[in-house]
Amino acid sequence: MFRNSDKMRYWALILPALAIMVTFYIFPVLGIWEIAFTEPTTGVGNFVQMAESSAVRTSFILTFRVAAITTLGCLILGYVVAYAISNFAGKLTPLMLALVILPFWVSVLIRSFSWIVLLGRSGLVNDTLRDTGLIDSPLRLMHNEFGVLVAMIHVMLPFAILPMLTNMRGISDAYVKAARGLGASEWTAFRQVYFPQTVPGVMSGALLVFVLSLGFYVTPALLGGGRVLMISEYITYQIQEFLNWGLGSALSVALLIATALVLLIAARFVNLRSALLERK
Amino acid sequence: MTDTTDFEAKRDIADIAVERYKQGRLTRRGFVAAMGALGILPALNSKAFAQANEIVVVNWGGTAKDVLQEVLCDTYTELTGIPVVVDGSGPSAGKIRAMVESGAVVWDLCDSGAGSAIILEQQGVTQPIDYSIVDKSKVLEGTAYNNGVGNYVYSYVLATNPKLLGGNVPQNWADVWNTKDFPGMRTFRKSVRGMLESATMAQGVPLAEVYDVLGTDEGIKAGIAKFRELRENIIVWGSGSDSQNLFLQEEVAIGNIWSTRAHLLKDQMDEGSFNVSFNGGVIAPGIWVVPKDNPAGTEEVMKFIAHGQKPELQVKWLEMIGSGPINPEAAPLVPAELAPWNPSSPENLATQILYKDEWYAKNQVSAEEMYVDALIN
Amino acid sequence: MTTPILSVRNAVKRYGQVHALDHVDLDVADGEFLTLLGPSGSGKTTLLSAIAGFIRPDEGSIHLRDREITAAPPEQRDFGMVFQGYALFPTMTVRDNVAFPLKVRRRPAAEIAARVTECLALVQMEQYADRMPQQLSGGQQQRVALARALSFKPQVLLLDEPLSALDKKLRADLQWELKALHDQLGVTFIYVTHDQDEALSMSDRIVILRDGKIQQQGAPGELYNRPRTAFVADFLGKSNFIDVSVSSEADGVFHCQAKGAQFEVDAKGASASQVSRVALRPERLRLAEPGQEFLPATVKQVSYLGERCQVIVTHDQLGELLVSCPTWKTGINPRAGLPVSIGWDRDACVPLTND
Repeated sequence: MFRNSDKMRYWALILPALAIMVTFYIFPVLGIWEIAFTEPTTGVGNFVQMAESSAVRTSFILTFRVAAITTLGCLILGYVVAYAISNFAGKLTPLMLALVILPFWVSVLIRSFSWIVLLGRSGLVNDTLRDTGLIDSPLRLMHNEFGVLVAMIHVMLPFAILPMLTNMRGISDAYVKAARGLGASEWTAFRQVYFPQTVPGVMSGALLVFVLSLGFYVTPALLGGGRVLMISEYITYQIQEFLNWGLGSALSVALLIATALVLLIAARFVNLRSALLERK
Repeated sequence: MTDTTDFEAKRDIADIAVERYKQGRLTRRGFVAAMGALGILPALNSKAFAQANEIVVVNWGGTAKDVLQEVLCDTYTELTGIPVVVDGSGPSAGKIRAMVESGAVVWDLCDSGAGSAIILEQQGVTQPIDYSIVDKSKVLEGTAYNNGVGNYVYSYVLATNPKLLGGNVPQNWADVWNTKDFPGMRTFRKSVRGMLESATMAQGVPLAEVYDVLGTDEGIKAGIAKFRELRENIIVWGSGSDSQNLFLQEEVAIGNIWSTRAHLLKDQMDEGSFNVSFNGGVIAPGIWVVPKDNPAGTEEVMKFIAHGQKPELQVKWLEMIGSGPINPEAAPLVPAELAPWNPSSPENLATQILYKDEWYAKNQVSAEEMYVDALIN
Repeated sequence: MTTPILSVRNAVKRYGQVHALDHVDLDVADGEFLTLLGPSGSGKTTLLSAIAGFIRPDEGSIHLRDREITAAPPEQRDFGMVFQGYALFPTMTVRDNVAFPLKVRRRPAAEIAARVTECLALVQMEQYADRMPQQLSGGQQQRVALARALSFKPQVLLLDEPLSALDKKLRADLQWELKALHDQLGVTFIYVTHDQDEALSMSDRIVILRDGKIQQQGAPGELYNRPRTAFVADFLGKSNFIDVSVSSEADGVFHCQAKGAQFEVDAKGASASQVSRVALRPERLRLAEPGQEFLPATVKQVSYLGERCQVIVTHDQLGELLVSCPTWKTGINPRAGLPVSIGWDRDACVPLTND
């Protein structure tokens, strides 16, 4: 009896959030699935068309490549930042943390536009390089994969830093001290004692960035010059440009399944529970 | 048949009006009207409230709505005393059809496209144009349909930045594909609309034969192949403002863009750093359609369409937001400095072809697919 | 003392205005169990960190036998270390933890395996070799930490409050074991604690620190019985303090004047001019019927502790004094308000010098 009413209470607590998820997420997603199999005709026609299209294949490969490189870049840069903040920032930690979170206050759109200002043909970077005589003609820094990657890494970086930082801040400095006291060099102590403890943070940062990158739209659309066509942009293209809801929905379904597969594969190698829920 | 109406282009014209308004070239009047409209429009959607002697014209919103109001509607009211209201909610073919089939028609006249006009006619939800009131000779040849008639035009044009090119400006599409003599980045639309035509002309196909060539699979493939060949030099524009920014930021020196955007760029770019050639351009019309059982009645709407054909009003359109007159008679009235930018001036018409909706209805989907593949794969 | 295995010379470490180490000199004999004892902030941990190499003194030097190690990184000092909270590596098994110091020293695998088994046996943890540290109790983790610190046969073992996280009973048991281990292995132990019981029960020598300075050092009994300063007398056990003036000195005995009392005190090497206070251990005070001892007093409060009984008595001039007497031996039954008399032997008082 007591247990039952307890359970009811928990359900009542999550009900509002659950209702919002079901109404505004689960239902629309189901709608997308329906459209994928029914527009313009019922069946798997859209998926056949998708499988046969080399543009779709290219776009998928591109999407996974961009997401993977973005993830790697974010992990390397983010690890260094998180490591520096958690081990050396001292009293400046709150400030550093604020600086990491600060970009969230500016919309992705504006941050991506800023990169256009920086990386453009007559942008800050090119102008500076030209003024200092390092280059004669402007470098192509955007409207290609390079520009997309630079901006994507920038946009995604906080998502990599935050889980790693939370994880690292939970690691006592006693371990590295202990390792060194027991005869390990600084590098050995880092590699064998510190790093293994940060793996959960690294994994959760990696998953977060990779999954978010797979569905990323604004930045590649703005900086890709139309030729770095990631799946999400391709979906928009199908729906906005050709009003081809069927194929667009089928692509969404495919992306959703691909993302789920990534998580499943990741689950084989890492403990998702500890990577996503526990930060220590 | 798929609806080939280029909604993007229509929305873009609305955007352009916004820019004009910001530049102070549109009056505030439209804004006040819009505020009122917020209260009025829901009532309009109910048949009971629709006034019999009022015309409701529907276009794609934004401040293009205000231009339409100011240039055509208010002048009509002055002449006849009949109120004309612009609704900017976007008369897509689907909405028109739904409205007619539900029997609750509140729209009298819709700014549509050739593709939609043809489909709507087949579905039997639009009225024939009464060519005894609307003058067939006052629209460009090929834009007078049974159930639709041209209202303005815009073109896909060859835009260049002579300063960036060092004065060495491509004169035609073949030059655009010649990256050796004309180095630099080009911009093309993220769609085959108006683009595949230029790629075909770049192969030396004469204007008149472009759609014949594109009528064959080999013709399409050859056009697509041209893009594959050029792709390392291509940045794609998605929206009209994209294309504008690419020129403004000097990201590209050459491009195939809308003449309406070029109209803005000519004022924004430095003297001598922007040029447009209608040589090999593709001209596309906006089309008026009249839903069946429109509340104001057939005759009243036809009279309004005829009013809009007046050359002086058409020139005003061009001045304000760069859409070209559909009426060839307007050309002589265009101020000399604007004439080169007018898509429908006789000189420019001679070097362009008319956008062919029938071709798009048949080939667009597969062509787009190949186009994307050519650009990214 | 023969050649010390470790010597600290004139070590100074400043943090801003604060001297964490204030000209510290310390010699540690080979095989000694040395305890650094002091309240928090006394500099004991700083001194251990300087010895371990985690901080570098601003001045002074540290030698390991003949070798100067003042600036050497921790890993080149070859000390075994046991940390507060154990710091067992959570991503490694017990076995790998114990093997860690050997692996980083690149010992052959066979030797590592043998040595790990040996060390785990030493602390009776063989059956837990494949557990993760988180699966062990506090006491078990402590033992593993000890095995890990000893695995590479260090000459010196540094222990930083290793028992502080354990409950009282376990702590007492492990004190015996640590002492036994020390005696069995003959390794030099340098042990940091703030717990006087630990210090007294295990050490060969205790060094008491305060404000970065060494206050006094010596064998536990010597420190307990002859504290030189009020700080030491109070920190190591409890003391009553009585302000006195020495009126005369003869044959190593001071004649002391206190408010309302006169008594004799063994000089114990102190010079009369420096003494203005004496310390008196509560257990050295005798409680008796009124008139039987030389100072009249009244019982204020009684606290019963089982084996002992703590009694606070008040004397008109000297104020409150704490008396600790065995419950089984007391002749009277103290209760609040009871008039009594108190007294002590001449050698019970310890003359103190000013801090």
